[in-house]
Amino acid sequence: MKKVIAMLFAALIMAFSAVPAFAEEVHSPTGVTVPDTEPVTSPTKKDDTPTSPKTGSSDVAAYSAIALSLAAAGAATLVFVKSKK
Amino acid sequence: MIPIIVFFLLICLGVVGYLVFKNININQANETYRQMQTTIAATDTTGSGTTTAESATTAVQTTQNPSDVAPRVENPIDFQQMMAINPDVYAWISIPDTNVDYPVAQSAEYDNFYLDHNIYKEYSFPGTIYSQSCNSKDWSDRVTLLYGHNMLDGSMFATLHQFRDADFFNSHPYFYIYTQNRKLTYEIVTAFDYDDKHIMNSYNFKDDKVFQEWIDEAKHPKDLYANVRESTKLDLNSKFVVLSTCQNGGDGRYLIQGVMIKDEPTKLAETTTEISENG
Repeated sequence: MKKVIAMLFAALIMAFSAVPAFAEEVHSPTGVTVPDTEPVTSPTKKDDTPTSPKTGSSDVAAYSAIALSLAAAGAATLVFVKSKK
Repeated sequence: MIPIIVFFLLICLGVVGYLVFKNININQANETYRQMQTTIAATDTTGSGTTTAESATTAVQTTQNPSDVAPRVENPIDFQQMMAINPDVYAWISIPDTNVDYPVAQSAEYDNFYLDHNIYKEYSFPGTIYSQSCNSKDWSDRVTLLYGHNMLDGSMFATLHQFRDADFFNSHPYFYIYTQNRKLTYEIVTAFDYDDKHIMNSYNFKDDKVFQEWIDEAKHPKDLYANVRESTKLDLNSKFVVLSTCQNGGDGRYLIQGVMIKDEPTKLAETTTEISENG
């Protein structure tokens, strides 16, 4: 089992070390000359969604995440302490 | 069990770190806007106003050459300095007795870029007051939408919610938009809750019938708690600016709709005061 895990790690390391070699083959996109007949005033990313931009500002999700994670950590701590007794 | 405890504590720490970063970012943005309001803008936000009730009834001066028609009024905005910072910034909006006293931008690359970027094009939670490319920057569209965040600290468009109060609505009938050579005065027609429909993508205002329906709804909105200024005259030549922000709860939007009643040519500002980037 240990040999299998070691082989998996070795394979992962080899795969990641090969990424730079592949990355060197990737060329940055070259500039494209826009023909004069094409309109140049339209933005690249136009908002054509049916929903208005979300201009709210609420931290409810963040505070909920804090509360839940603290509750989970507290529950896990309780279970750990009880298991040690 | 210990790794599980550590895992949840790391989540908690990560979220707390995010909130701290967000608050620092918001405070920096507010400081930047405060500096801009004192150095670039000299607008009158005290409610004393620059338009009296009598002059508000003047017919709209929609001339193509404002310089040929009326004497020029003072322009409190240093557009030269502002556009040197970012040429996407093309106007300034000011609403008396609210915190709304901000530059207006429109991105050439991405319609919602300024939803979460300041005028220095840095990531910023409050963003910038902005319009999308579907609206022209000369305020000639029948309906122009401006978007701004409903920030918890009262900045950006949060104080638009003051118009929910009928007394405030009745006593604050105008907002102003300054461009490089114009001062536009808008009379607030309606303040109302609306759904989250993208208005410019849902209506073709070039169609007279569609625009007439929009005008009719402006005077008779579906929101039961809407404030409406019945005395405002509206017709197919009206030019609306709609200020859109999120509601305090729910998925809809709160809209302040104004109609242009005055278009005055302005003198160019000559101030050259510098401001620092990060306040």
